[in-house]
Amino acid sequence: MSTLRVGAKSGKEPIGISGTGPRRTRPLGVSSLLVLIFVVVVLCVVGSEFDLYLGGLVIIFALSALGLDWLMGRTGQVSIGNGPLMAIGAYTTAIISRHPWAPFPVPVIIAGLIGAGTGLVIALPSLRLRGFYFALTTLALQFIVQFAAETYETDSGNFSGLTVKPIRVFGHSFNYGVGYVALLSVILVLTVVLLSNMYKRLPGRMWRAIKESELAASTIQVSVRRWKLTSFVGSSGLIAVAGSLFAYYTGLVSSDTFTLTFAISFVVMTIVGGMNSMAGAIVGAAVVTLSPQLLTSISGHFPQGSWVQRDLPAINSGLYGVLVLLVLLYLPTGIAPSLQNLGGDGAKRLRRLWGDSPAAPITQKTGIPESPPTNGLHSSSATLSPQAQRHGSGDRSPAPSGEERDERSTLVQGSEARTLLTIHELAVKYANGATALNRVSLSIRENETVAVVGRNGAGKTTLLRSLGGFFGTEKVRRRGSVIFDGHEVIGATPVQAASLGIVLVPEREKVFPSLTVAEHLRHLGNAEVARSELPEVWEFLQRLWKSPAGSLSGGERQLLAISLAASLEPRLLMIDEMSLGLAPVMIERVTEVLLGLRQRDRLSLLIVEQNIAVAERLAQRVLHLENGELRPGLGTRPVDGDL
Amino acid sequence: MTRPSGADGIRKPVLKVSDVRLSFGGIKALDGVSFEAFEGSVLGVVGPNGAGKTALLNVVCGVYTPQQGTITFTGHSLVGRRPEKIAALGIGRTFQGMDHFSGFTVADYVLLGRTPRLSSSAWGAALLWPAAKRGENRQRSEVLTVLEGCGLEAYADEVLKGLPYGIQKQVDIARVIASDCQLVLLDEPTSGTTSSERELISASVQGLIDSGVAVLLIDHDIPFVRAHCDRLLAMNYGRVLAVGSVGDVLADPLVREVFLGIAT
Repeated sequence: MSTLRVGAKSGKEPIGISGTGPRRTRPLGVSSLLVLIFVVVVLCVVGSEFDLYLGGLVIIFALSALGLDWLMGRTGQVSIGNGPLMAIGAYTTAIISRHPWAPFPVPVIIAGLIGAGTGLVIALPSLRLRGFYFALTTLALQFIVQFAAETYETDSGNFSGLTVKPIRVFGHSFNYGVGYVALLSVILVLTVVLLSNMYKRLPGRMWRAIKESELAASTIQVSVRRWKLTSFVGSSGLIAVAGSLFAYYTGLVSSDTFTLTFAISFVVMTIVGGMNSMAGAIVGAAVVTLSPQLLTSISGHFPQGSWVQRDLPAINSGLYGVLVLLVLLYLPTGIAPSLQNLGGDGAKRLRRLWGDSPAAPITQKTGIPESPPTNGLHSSSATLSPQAQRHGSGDRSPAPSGEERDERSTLVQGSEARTLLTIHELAVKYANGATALNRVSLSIRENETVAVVGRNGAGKTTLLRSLGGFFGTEKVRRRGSVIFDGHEVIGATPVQAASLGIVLVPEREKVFPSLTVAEHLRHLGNAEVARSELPEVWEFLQRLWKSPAGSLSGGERQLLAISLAASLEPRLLMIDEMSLGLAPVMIERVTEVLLGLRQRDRLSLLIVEQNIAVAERLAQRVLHLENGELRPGLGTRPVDGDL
Repeated sequence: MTRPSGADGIRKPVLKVSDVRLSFGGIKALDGVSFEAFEGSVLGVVGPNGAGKTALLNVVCGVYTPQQGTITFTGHSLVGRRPEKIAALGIGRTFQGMDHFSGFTVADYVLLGRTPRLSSSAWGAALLWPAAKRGENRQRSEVLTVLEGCGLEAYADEVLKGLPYGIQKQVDIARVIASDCQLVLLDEPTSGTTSSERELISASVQGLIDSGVAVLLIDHDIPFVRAHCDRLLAMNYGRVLAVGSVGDVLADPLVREVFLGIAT
């Protein structure tokens, strides 16, 4: 037991633990509820009538957005059906509330039931269609409802829409003002409580399982159909109730309201506020509802007739786009979850933004006091090419700069192979503060094969990806230099890295599933080179020539990917997790292929591998990467630097 | 824990697969596969990549429907049944990769294995009906017991995505242990793990086997398979090469050549 914990602790890599990692699903939280109540009370006490009106509108839209969050954030069903579902609720209310047998809560309940029934109907295509295909069927609902509403208005002679009588309780009418906002707040709080009860328990787990993978969920006894239907029925009912309350609130139900833009605004609310978060739905509703108002009031300060006032409608319609863009770029999980995270790693992130030392976490993590980088001793012999060591360049101080270093090793090695790649103190840190690589130095000569071993999460993949020019668009901080054949690779794009001759065979997604083997080699690679350089693989792949790569087994994919990469005539071929998940016979085959490639002139190989036996067989040098630091050989079995 | 030896003929077959054929657009993933898995016995499935091992597993749990052949589990025909119905009969599985449910916490994920024992009323959950609440609490404590048994209780509230891969795989095994299945399909429990992780996974698998369920164990790691299996099924190109006791199958010249790459 204790071994387990110890092993697990040290293996607990920081990558993906927090920040960009998954949030634990949190209900609204007592504190946010209190904030909400406070806002409503303040609004009721000091707000103007218009402020109060806006506050009520935000609550109604929040209810509708909560319905969408249920469907989209929790169950993973993309829908733009909020507009038509609210319309159904609103029209039902407008029509029913005229009758004397339907005093106030009755139309809302009936609207909810009819909405739920509609949810059942739109759920049917969702059992077959996924993602955007399904979203398109909800678009159909939009057009159907809009058409029906227009026709009804025309036929019944209500050309400007249907009026809804205010709610009367004991002869006292309250449609807007403090009373109605208070009623809406109570409904919102109740809804949040009911939803969070479900999300915390079995229904929440079922929906999450469906969201993550329907097929996998079904094989572990999650009744996908049933829970999808439940989610559709429940959320549609809720959205229709919001529509009904909306009808009472505005007093007029018109087909002009329930446009496609209106429907899309709810998707914007959930994305901006934050999906999979009830606070997010509420915040999103507030932001999307209030920002046009804010813009209008700001434009009032501009001189009469200025472009801001003139183009206000255009600015307003571009607002959604700008909002979504800003949130996706800077708060990818949405406003509310980002705020909730502020207390935890968000604070860390802020501290880092203000220039805290980036090297500190490593020491904490390993628990080993890190020796200061005094001359040369800090980085092991792994940093130097074996030749340099053998030739006894006594001061093993890390090279001051890439070029200089390159020159020096060339000098030291004399006529021996030239250094192709020099990594100097490369450090990579992820946006969540996790350190993936901590000042790794390594040089690789031409025609050399280097294998990097290490446990999961040690930073192996990060190393390869940094060399391949990735991370440019991700929020990753890199330091140090990577000189490849005289060019700095850090900051290069994958395309630039590839044109220098650096080719990466990644661990996953190494082939294009819909392209056939033939298309891979003919169109993406160089078929002639593939045939002449790797004749055995070429012959092996002939059998699968017309098969889409998606239908190949793991080993076949690996062979195809390697042969494709080799046909591009790289100078440095990097293979991530070469033998992962392959049967012994396939490992043997791939190893043979790589041993063959090694003979090729001017090709260096950098291989990430977990199987030490394979690594030792393939590579001249086996290095050990642990906790983002490179060491020679392995802890238990030191491997000679120069076999 | 005494386990019936491989040779006694009294044990009943739990799973019976006969002449199953499955092809994807011309590629024969399974080409007339037949075998039986017995109560309380561990059948290892080995073969090179692309031999059809995972396809076999997916056919049994209903992800793919075979074009031909029959699969019966304790008297129920499985062909054409939906995956969740098959799972409900008492067939559990683990996943080769753990990407599917990476957003779950460990306890919530293992709770998925106890789903059938919980009230599945959404209203009950929403309105906090006492029965639903009690059931949820009871199952949660059951899950903690299972996690303790696997030495994973320290991780109960951690999110899977942040945990080392080996731990994730152990959690997956804990889930099937919690689900009390009659037949468990283990899909490459050791793939992508390091040797120290493998030892822990091996202990989890042994815990599962000791509970007396029938197990279908797919894996590449021969020492691992040898340590846990009573019988072996060797496959290549969707066909059964050999089936029988572990020693016999591993000694089979055809198997040695195809799987281990040892020419005879």
